[in-house]
Amino acid sequence: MARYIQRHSLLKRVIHGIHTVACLVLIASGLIIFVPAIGAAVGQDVVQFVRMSHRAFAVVFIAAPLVGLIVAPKGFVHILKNLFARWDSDDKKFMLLFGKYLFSPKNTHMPKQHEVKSGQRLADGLLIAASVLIAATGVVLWMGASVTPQVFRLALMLHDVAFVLVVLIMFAHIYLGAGVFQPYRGSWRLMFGNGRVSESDALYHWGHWAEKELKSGENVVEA
Amino acid sequence: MAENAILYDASKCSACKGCQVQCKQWNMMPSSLGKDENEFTGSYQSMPDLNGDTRLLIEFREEAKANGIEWAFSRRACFHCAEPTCMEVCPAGAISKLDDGTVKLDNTKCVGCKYCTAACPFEVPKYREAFNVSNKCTLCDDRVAQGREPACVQTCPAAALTFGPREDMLAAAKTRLDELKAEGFDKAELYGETEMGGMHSLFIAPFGLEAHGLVRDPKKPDAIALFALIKPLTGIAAAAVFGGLGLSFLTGIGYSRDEITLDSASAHDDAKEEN
Repeated sequence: MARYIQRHSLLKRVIHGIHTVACLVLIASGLIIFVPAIGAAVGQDVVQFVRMSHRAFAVVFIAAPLVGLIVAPKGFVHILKNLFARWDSDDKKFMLLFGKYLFSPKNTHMPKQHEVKSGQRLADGLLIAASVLIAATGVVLWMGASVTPQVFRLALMLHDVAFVLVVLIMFAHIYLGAGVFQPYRGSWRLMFGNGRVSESDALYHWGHWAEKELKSGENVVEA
Repeated sequence: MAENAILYDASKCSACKGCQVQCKQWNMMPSSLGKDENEFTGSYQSMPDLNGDTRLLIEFREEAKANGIEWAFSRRACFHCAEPTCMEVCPAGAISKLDDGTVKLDNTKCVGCKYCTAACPFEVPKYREAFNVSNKCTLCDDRVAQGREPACVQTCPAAALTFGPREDMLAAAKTRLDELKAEGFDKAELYGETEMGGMHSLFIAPFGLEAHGLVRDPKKPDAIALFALIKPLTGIAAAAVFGGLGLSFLTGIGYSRDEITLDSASAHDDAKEEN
């Protein structure tokens, strides 16, 4: 009988799913505003529809993690703790090897990792910072005529900078998280499936964490 | 088609506000007439600044002199820049430059995002809330297309406003500038000849630019100038990341690994330690 570890709760997966949809719609609709030539080509009605849908999905984008914070504050704290966890030698080694691993996975042995890989902690931290910036500046842009043109201008610039960051990080996040990268194959199930990871994959990706979980048995499921 | 321009000569302006009224009439822009609907400006100026319903405003700047108050009047409206930053940022293609140099805001295409206000070095386009559009002077392109002058020009009783080919307006402005200097207006300057690539609304400022509230050497706002850098950089960065990930995918083709369990992994670790 194969063993699995329940890595992500249903709540976490639902919030992640909602956030993913909101984020992708926001990127697509934002692109139409970001590149005026696209806006001019699709016409005023489409641009206006896109602007309004951008606002609706922005509300979802901001509200989803806040709902998570309210419904499961402990889980939220757990995420933050992982994000700011102290880096050990394996974490540093992982980052040093990651470039080689990305282009030569067959010949690269990666060190064991804790619950969140060091590289993912960096990417998550940057993504969260960019998301907070894009949300805050988005609110300012929504206020529109209520703020001075100087404030509006600054918010617009920072919104665009954050947009670029989010888009680039999302590219990499989807490549790895959805398992397009061969060593990560099947990892989409963690967030878009039942949230379980097989014993073998857990040991491969997050060795330190998997050992603890398998020994404690608390989140281990046999199927 | 020859480029056109409006020439405003503040030394001839009597600040009667006829142009302001005519602009509203021709363009069917309402005025706030209710009690306390207009903020008191402390002067004869109608309102503090342009607004969604006001495309043209005559500004009053006054200074107490020994022989009484001296006024420096200004015509505040779109300058119709040769390099309009408002047009660069408009996400709906609502702002365009006509052959005669007019920078036109087509409110049937405008989505009311206010990016143009943020991008304009003079903060001229204003949001018109009732219609969810931005609003600014169009140099009466509808009238000009029929061979007529802009409404403000037609109504000016002091001949402070003239309209015609930009070259002619520039020549007239320079001649007038020489006259003013000869009359003792040492600080008199012409505004709009080279600013923002050359404007299509020229301004003779008898008391110098600052006295008339004009921005000396206006520039595209820094934040907006950064857009020109951010956008191509984004494209390059996105292509680099996409290409890099594509290469990563190709080098990973054929990758496979054996299934492991906690026991087999521990045994492997132990063996490694013994070695």
